[in-house]
Amino acid sequence: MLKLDKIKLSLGQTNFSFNISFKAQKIHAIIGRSGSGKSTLLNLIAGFETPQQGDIKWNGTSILSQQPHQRPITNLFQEHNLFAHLNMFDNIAIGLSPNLKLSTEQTQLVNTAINSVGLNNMQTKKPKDLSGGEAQRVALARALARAQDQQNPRPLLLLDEPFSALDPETRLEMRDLITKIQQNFKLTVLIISHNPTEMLDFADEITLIADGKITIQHELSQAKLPKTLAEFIHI
Amino acid sequence: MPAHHLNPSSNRVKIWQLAWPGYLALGFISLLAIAVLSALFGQSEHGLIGFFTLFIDIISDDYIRHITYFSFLQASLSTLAAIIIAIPVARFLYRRQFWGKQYLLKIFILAFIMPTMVSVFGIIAVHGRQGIFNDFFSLFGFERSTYLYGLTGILLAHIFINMPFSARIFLNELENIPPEYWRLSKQLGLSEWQIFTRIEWPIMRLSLPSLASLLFILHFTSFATVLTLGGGPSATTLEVAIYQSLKFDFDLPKGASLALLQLSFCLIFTLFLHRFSNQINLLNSIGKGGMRPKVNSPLSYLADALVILILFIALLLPLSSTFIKALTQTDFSILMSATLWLSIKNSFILAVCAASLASIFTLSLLLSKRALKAHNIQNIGYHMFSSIGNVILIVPSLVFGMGLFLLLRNHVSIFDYGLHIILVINALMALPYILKTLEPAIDSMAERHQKLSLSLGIKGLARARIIDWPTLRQPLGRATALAATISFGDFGAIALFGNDHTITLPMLLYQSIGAYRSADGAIIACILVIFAFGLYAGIERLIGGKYVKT
Repeated sequence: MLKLDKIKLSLGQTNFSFNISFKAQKIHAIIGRSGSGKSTLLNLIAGFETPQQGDIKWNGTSILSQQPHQRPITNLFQEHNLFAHLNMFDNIAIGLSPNLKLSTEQTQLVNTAINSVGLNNMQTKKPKDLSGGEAQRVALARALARAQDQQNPRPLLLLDEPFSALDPETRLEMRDLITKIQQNFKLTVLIISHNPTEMLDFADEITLIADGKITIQHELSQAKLPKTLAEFIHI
Repeated sequence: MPAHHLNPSSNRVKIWQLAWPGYLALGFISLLAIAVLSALFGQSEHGLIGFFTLFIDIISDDYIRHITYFSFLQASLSTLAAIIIAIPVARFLYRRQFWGKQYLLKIFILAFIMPTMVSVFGIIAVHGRQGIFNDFFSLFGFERSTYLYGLTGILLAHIFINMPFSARIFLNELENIPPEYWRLSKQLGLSEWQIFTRIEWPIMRLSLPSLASLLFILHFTSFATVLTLGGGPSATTLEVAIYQSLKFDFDLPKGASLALLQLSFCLIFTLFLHRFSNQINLLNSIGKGGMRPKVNSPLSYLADALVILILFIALLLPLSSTFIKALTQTDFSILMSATLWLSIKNSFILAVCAASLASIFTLSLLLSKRALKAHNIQNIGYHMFSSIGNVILIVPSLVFGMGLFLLLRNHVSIFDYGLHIILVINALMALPYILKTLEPAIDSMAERHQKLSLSLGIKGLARARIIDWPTLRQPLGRATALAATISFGDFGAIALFGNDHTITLPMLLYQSIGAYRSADGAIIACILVIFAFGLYAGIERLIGGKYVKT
């Protein structure tokens, strides 16, 4: 379980306050208006922001003092997920070994990850030769490889609007791929989306943020959406 | 997102540990600048307190008044002429598509970055007493005339160097005209004159303040052109007067005062330029006309024919005549001269060392700035790391040289260390150009890679080798090559510190022109151009590697 315990952070004029738990091995959608604090929440978890108060725990252990790369996390940003001058294989491998010196097991992991996202025979391609969807698949493959790394597994996947630049068909493909990978590899996924409706049949749980605070956290297996959430999603 | 939050332990990291290379570079440059300034004030006829009386001298001293007046006059006229000619040239290039247009645009850049002494030689080869024009008119019985030297020659050379540059800037603006404007102009049936006044001129005018300010500074501080083509005391500028006071009169107090006066003017002009600091990007233009309506009227053809004639006389003739003159020589004995090979060697050493030093300074400053930014530290050092380039821009190389001469003359044998001093001056003079080239690349790299590198734990040498170097090597190659080419063709500091042993190709060319050895001059000019561009291509390839789009 991922727990944000009485986290407080002030950025400029905005005060953020998060006290929430996310169940492991589930897909959690984070929704809210622009500037509500969705990205800040993910940045806090990833270690890109440091809270002034509170603690962040993963399975009961505090990860607050860890550097971003030491945390059990992989990020998928909206853009700039790949290094433009590295080929696809190296872009995935760099997630396991920053100096690109891989052990046999790590090489195997990279190849498995490439197969899992369906990008076989494209190892030598550079990002400029990939479509938007393919580039996101490469980033997903890196997350997958990192999640399965025996020495330092990172089972938490943070997705910051990863579909926003994709066409509707590719979005669907990516959604299906994430669901498949999450189930097969038991990942915990937190995903920010500007399309709440899309999240209803994708996520296990939905969290609404407003004005830097958690407004509501709702398990989607429950029959009825709370009124606040329904109003926000316009259902 | 404030960057200091990117790293939880950032508050514990000392600023010095993050940015010591930048602070060392900044400290060296600042100390040198302060020492040079102190030396100028110390030696000046006026001193620090009487500094402001300098401006009173402009009114009271006939000599200073005249050279100040002439400096302003030639700079204003050169700027005006370059811009007025550039406007129809840019329009011609925009509205006509023809074979070789891309090559012509490349020649435009060539003229701007060509070593100044070669440009001057080209102008002399066309307009000098033994030049092509006099040759042509003498066929019809006209007397050979010497109309070149003085204001005319200075204007012709400045037009040759800066008109193509201005035309490319205007062309950039024209290429940015949205296609909708042209659809609208067709719908409204606008005439050519209305297209110019309603669409093209308002767009071109946007870059006018920054372009005019930049050209004015370049012309005001022009040294090699005025020294060679000025032709006497009546056509002397402040820049040349500083040189004369040190080299001929050895009147150091006067030289220091003139240097301070020049520095003051440059400071004012740079502040003025900063006011209009919209980006000028020479390399943007693609030479495409977009959706502009075609023009087929006889008047337009006549106007374009006139533009082609101007381009031929002002640009292509001086450029080609140097090469033609060199290739048609029968006496190539200069190639056996030990002085020529010494000057080639010195020029190469200076160019490579100055460019390397400038690149090391720039990388130290900008990577330190990036490191501070990543920890959200925006102190004075952070701001100075990139703005030190603008500070250097204020100080012309001759003023810097004068200050260094005053600073060092009692401590070391100046002429024994001439090459070292020139190296430092040339490196500092190249700094603003390298900073301008590399800063956007490093900023963009930081924006794209910082968060990802941090999340994947890519740091230290691994980051430098795998991420930074492949991303930066191309802009670094371009910037270093540019710095080396500028230094290779520079005739500023070498004019002050050069002698028979400390000689470079531009200085040798200057001596040939001065001694009316035009045959030798043509060959030296060709060698200078070929080696300068060879050096550019070599360094760009060596550092930048083969072109890979990233």
